[in-house]
Amino acid sequence: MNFASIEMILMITLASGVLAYLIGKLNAKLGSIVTILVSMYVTIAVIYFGYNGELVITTEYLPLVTFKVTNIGLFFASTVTFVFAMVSFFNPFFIDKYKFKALYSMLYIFSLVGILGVFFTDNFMTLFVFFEFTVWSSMFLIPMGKSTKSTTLYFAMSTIGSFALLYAIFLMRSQSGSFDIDQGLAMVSGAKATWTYILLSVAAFAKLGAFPLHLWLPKVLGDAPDPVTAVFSGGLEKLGAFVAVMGLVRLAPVSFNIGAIDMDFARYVIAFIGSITIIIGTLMAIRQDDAKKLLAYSSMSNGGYIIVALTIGNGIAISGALYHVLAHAIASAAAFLAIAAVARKTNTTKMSELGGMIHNMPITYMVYLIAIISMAGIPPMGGFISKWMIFQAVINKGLPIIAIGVFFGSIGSFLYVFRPLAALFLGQQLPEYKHLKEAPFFMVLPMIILSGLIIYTGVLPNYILGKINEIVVDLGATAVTITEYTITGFNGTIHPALISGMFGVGVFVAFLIFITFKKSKKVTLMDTYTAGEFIYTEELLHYSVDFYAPLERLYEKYIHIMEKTYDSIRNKIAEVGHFFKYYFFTNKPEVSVFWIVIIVSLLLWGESLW
Amino acid sequence: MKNFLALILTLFLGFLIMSSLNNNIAFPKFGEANIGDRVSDAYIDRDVTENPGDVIFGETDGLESGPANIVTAIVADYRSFDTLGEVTVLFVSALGVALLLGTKKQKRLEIDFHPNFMLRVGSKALFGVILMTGIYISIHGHLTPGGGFPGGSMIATSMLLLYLADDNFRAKVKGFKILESIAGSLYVLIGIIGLIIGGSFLVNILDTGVIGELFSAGIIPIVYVLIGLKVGSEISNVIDNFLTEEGA
Amino acid sequence: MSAVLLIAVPLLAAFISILNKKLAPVLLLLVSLFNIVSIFFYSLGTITIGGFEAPYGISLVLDNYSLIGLIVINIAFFLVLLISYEKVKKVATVLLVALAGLNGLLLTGDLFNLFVFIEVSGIAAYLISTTNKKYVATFNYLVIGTVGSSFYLLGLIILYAMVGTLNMSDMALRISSEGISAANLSLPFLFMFIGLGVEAKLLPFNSWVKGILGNSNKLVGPMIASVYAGTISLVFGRILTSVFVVSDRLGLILTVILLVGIVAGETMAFASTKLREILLYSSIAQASLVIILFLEGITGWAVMMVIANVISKLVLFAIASYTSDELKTDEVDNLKGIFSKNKIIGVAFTIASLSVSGLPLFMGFVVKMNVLTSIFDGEDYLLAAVILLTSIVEGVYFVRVLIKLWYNKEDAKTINYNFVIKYIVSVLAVLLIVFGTYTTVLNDQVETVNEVFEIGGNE
Repeated sequence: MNFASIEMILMITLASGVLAYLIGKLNAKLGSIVTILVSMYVTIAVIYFGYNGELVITTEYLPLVTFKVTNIGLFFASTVTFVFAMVSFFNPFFIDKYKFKALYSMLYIFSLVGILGVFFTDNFMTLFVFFEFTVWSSMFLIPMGKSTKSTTLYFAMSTIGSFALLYAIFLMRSQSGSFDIDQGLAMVSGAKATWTYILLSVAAFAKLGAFPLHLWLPKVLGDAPDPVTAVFSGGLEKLGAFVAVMGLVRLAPVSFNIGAIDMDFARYVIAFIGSITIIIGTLMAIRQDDAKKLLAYSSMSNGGYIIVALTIGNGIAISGALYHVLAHAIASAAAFLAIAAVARKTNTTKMSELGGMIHNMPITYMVYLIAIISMAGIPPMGGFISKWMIFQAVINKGLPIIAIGVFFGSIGSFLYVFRPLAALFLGQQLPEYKHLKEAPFFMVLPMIILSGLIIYTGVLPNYILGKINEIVVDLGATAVTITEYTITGFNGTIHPALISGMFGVGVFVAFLIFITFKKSKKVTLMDTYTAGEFIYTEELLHYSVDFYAPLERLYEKYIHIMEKTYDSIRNKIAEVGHFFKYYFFTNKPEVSVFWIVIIVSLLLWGESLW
Repeated sequence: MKNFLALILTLFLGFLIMSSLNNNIAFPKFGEANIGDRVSDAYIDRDVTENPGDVIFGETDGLESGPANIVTAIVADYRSFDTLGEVTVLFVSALGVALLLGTKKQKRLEIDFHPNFMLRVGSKALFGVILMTGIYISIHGHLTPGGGFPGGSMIATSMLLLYLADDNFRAKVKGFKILESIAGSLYVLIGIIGLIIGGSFLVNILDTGVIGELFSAGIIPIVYVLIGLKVGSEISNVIDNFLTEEGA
Repeated sequence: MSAVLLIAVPLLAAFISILNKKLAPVLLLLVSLFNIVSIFFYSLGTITIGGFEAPYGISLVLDNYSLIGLIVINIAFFLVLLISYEKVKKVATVLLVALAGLNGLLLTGDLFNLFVFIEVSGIAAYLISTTNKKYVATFNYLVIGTVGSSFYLLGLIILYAMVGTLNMSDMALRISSEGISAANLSLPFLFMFIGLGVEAKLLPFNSWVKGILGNSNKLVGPMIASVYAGTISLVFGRILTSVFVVSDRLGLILTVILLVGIVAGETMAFASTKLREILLYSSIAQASLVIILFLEGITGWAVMMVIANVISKLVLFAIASYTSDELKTDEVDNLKGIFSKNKIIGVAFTIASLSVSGLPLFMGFVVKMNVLTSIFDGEDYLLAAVILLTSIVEGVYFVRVLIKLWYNKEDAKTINYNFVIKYIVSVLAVLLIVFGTYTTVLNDQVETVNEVFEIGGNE
């Protein structure tokens, strides 16, 4: 029994998943409290033992499973487990809304087990087992939310990703002769390397929700229970980033080199799709009314940043991508939690049905504000640092087309992230929500911790960047030059702390101005001037309805293209099925006999011709 | 038209099979198969376990397989297990007929044919003859062409005759059932006894005697009689099932 | 004791059982139980029948391959009887014959004897299927089944004319010693393949499946889809591994036909809305996949896949058929939420279907992974791609069904599942998890099976 061994942590977690189920059967609340304890335990164990270098990788009980602690695995594991731990605080408050309460707690913990396994193994087969394990345990969390429809979609997309991964794994094995991750990635070559590159990209795309496998993301995040949404966006999605690092950085595809930018064609294609993902995510986010869906699309476009950065693959780009993983994980977790806190009280996440929540939930408002500042990439939050590094990399590499996408996304995110802020929290208070109070302490606590981290990553990124540099070196790129307070990019150096300080001063001045010149008069939301006419559809007059209508009109014709494509794929599959049914499965035995005779005849005929 | 197409298709298939076999060097031409290295050679010479030398009708005794009729030797001795299987096939088919057509209360099927007096009497006279022939064929299965299956069918034919000749006739189905059951069970039991005494299932535990005599070939005549009885009673049951319908 | 008792005792019981209809079901249970217990007392080896050595006499082969099949099939048979005891009464004798036939199929080492047992078990199957009370479907089954076994017989006759023996191992020996080329054997093998293909539910010889399994009650469903399907797959495996010498060309053609079968099966299941139809089309795909594996020489894991299928199909069909027996409908949309009131049944169904679609923690996953490993070892990238792509479709329709059966907006219909089915399906579901996590057992079994056919172990 070694409590610092990964095997032990996994097994304890797995066992407590079952325990959570049993306890949850007796008392659902208690069961969900188990999820808090377990995910806190896992987080602390991983971070404490991990960064002290004490994690033991030997296995005694689990056959065929081998573990390995890598810097990148540790980085991802600590990020994701931390998100799980923070989100788990919300579980007890939401558990009553679910149909299968005990099961929820169990599956929540099971997904955590799966994630841990993926990050801490050196064996592809183990990785895949845990990958799939995560898929099915998280899959059954989704239908407990608003709607069950998106579950199948999630499973389909995820499975496409998983099987692409699996195929890639076997391709690598055919050349390296084992399931070892390092060997596999190192030894695959030739056409197989290109295929592996493509397949791993598909796997990463499916998990990150990148175009064209993005459809599940908004649907699942829109439908899933509120805490689960945060876990998906902040945690499970990052599986895709993990695979992406494996495929996009550690593999060299062999198609042909584009001379002008010294970049492989396959790589460029992936980067291009990444930038498309950013653009689509941004455009779609702009037109959402549901705050959760809006954030889902924003998650998608952030996934695009990670992909673009990883394809470029130099030191700055990789650190940018990894830092973005972290920054986005905590920011989106915070944002989703904040919305979850609101939704718990109001039972809606539609922006047009909300408003003025700042009066009821000021802390939640602050958390959300900080989160979206980070997501939009504005200093002094973590998202700024990562985006700055990614911009550096893209500009330096000289990728104008891709840069358009990247910058578009950044500007576009200003357009959408502040909408929920304005619609949900600011503006006039709705009369029906007047009595609502701030979320309970144990919900506020994780949100505050997350916000603190967001600010910390923005102001003092260098400790974490140091850790990331170790990964960068592992991956064979040059480490980013950092000092205690500065980061050096390709064309300049920034002082995050200094920037933050300036920002702080700016905010303080603005706040003073706001306090001293406060003159606005409060009106209720529906107190609208209507020229003596009675309004029947007053919700249309909510200012967040059709906020960007002119912009949306530019592209609203095209937004369903992907959905239609998938629908038609589905219909095609069913059509093939109907075809076979019609021609082979009649109630007439003579038809079967006919087919037998035909097949025999054709074969024999062929044989006599051969 | 459909039938015509089916005919064409079948002929085409037949032609293809023929021509394919014709071109196939591994498939022996008629009369050219080399019998010497086939298993059937051993069946004819009766030298599977030991070589008895020349087999002479009426003289050689103690053969590994006693029947003078080679077909019987193969069917009921060398490959007796298959025969047990075939008996089972018939058994379960008859059972199926009973399952689908048999009801609790039955009466004869109303058919628009009423046999006259001559037919009734004549058939009764014929009945005995056919029955006896059937039994004879069953008993002499190991000596002459025939055996349990044809014999049994003939026994059933005699029953069919009675059914046809008399529209009120009903056989005692229950009796047939018992006969069928006993005959079948005995067949298996003989096999199991062989397993216990002789070490393998359906082994010939009795002395095979002199080839060509009525009391020879060990268990084979017994088995064949059992088969005859079983087949006869099963087919009779089937006949009864077909010629009766639900009713008082 | 000799393993022939596995065939002889049910037969004897069948003959006796027609005397007393009341006792027949009891006899059936006793014999079935006897078979299960007795399997563990037989010693491995070739069993000669009638005292004539192979190849002259008929011989049964009890090796590790048939042993594993016998254990699985006999136990599954017994469980099906327990689940559907009230349906069993009418066809108890037939089931006894079926049991003898199935054991015979697994044991026999003689190609003609195999035909006899195909007939025996086939006719028994037709009669079992009459309990569905869909006589037209049974008639279809009868016609197609008969055509199939005729093809088998025709192929066997041609083969016998060429080789001059019926014993399987002797046949293989002579084919190689006399140097008969694989191309020359294509015709008889093709016929035999078709004959067995009818019973094994391979496209396009399988239109009977829809009528039989689509209307199955709780006896017919698990019996045909699980017990029979498993047996026939194993028979196929034995013939493909130890007798058939498939030429490259024929192998390619058969693989293509089977691949079409997989695609067809999965797409048809995808296009279906009735629970039993989904399951039956899915099992068509499974069957084709198993046969492909045998063709490719991945024998050990193919056997494991058969076992996994037997277990999971037993669970799935037992529950689906039981449910539709009770509710008189199996439209998935009409069954919404039934599992939320019958959690044990629901969990077992979920586990079984997740195992079939190959998700980790369950037996199906382990099997699928090892199968894929072997396929990639054989550098058959297209086959692997088809298997994976169809698996996606498969997973999607299973998840779709699961979500519908667990969640509902309105009140779900209530069904009282009796405790027998509850116990059995939960035990089987646990078994799927055990095999899915404790994989050493499977690996050992694969080794022993591969040793039977002298296939090198997969490291």
